[in-house]
Amino acid sequence: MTASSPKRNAANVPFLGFGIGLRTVHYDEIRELPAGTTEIDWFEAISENFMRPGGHPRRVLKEIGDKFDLVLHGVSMSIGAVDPLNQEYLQTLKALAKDVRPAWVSDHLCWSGNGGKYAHDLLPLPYTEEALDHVAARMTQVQDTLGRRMVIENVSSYMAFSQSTMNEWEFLSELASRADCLLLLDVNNIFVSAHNHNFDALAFVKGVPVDRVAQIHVAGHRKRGDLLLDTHDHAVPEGVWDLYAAAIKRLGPVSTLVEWDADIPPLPEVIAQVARARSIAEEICGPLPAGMNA
Amino acid sequence: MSPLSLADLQSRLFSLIVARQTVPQELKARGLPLEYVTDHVQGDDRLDAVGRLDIYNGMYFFRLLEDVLEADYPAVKGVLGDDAFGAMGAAYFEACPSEKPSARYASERLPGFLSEWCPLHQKPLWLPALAALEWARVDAFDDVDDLPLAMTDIDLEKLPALHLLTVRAHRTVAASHAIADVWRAVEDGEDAPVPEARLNTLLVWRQGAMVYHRELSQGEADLWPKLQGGLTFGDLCEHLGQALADEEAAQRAVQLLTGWINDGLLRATTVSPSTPPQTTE
Repeated sequence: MTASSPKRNAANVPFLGFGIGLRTVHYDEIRELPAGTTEIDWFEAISENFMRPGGHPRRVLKEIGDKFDLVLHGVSMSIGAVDPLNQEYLQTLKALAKDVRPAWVSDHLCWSGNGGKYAHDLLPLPYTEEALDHVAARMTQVQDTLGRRMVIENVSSYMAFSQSTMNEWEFLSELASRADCLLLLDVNNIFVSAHNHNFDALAFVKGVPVDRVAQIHVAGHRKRGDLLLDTHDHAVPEGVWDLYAAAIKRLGPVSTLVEWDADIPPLPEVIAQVARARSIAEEICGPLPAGMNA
Repeated sequence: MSPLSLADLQSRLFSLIVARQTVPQELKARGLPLEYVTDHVQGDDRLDAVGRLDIYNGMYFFRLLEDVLEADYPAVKGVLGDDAFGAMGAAYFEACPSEKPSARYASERLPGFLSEWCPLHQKPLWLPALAALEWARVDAFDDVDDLPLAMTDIDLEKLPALHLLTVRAHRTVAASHAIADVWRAVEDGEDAPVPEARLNTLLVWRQGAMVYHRELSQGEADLWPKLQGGLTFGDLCEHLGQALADEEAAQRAVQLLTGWINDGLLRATTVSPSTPPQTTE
């Protein structure tokens, strides 16, 4: 398909272009980038790193937000946990969003704690009707509290559950429909989970509703034994780029972000990955605008 | 085998993920059969169900130890060494599991934990204070920005009435040993020295993007609580005048005021706490 100037994509959210995760090692260089730079269109910030009002991290985020589009990406909402939603966390997230005005706020389809304790991990859910009812109700509660639609990401996983009655993409699609939320399609996570659980990664990409996908993640992973681990510690592997191309062919232009969270290289190396994503998307969609702020 | 409710499944898995030993060891220690996991988690010929759950158990401690504890307490690690630090970290997270959504707070109870932690032979007496210093540095880094007071803000005619308000991004740490020497040595990649036994108070503060600490002089250490209670420059002179001649007290007060302003320790009094963060660099 060709989309010459998509200001909004099929999910009717802004097409931000191609971005990277905001990491402290790159702060100084990123602050020097001029607005409208052609190399990076937008940044994704880990919500929890900026939740304390005031202070250096928040100030840097706002400074970058003055020049580039921002998205807030959380890791601690624990939307699938059975513990009550942490209202203090939600109110802090709401205040942060009000302060930095992100294009959207995202988190993961997972649970992270139990009994008031947190594992600080993205633990997979069983894909059952019970879990779907539970997560959809909580998602509605979160969206009501935040006063905005959430974007929810599929996680990498190493275990699956005997009691699951549907696959992950069926669960995500139904969740998006019931709670009227959007999806963040992490194609690396799909690649990793497909390998670990022996399902067809392309079936996942073809199984999500086109009009719900607001964003895509690409990242690197590692082999451990016979399984793959979601490590984000090196360049995006070719298999993930192939899956990304398949996703863009189906979804059209979707705001795309390169994640690199460990063994983080100099900024130009991350930018090269952004250029690769842009090149793949433009090969499929034709010339794309460089994000909303450009 | 009937499926577990979501609540029962999460409770069961969580207790195994955060267990200090591996999942097989924990099952054995609790006298539970492998079916406690395998009835609900799927495995295959590449890795069985228990092994898959054990990946999460391993990542739990690895992540908290490497991403949180080592990042927040490099000097404590430098003193203990890798193995003892790892053992201490596992004991810490078992005793003080994270109770807040953000991992930023997962290590905040380490100074208190170290006061109680055994084995004592692995713990220098001053280790909790060194940890307190490191946590104070972490905590000051993202504390509220205040507009710092500048020399040009001061109306000399109204100097005696000037309210000396400290910036909020500061902490004090009391220590029985010269722990700043230990921190510096580890920071410089040297072996940690045995610090001199000496009561001292460390001031930790952020100026712009940098966090600093220094030992307060005895006079400053006595003054600091009074500053938090609200002190004018006139009060400062009067306080110093209790021990010094008037002219000497005034000179010392100006010297302290200048030092605090140069270090960015005082905030402009016209800025209310609700004022948005200001650029100080």
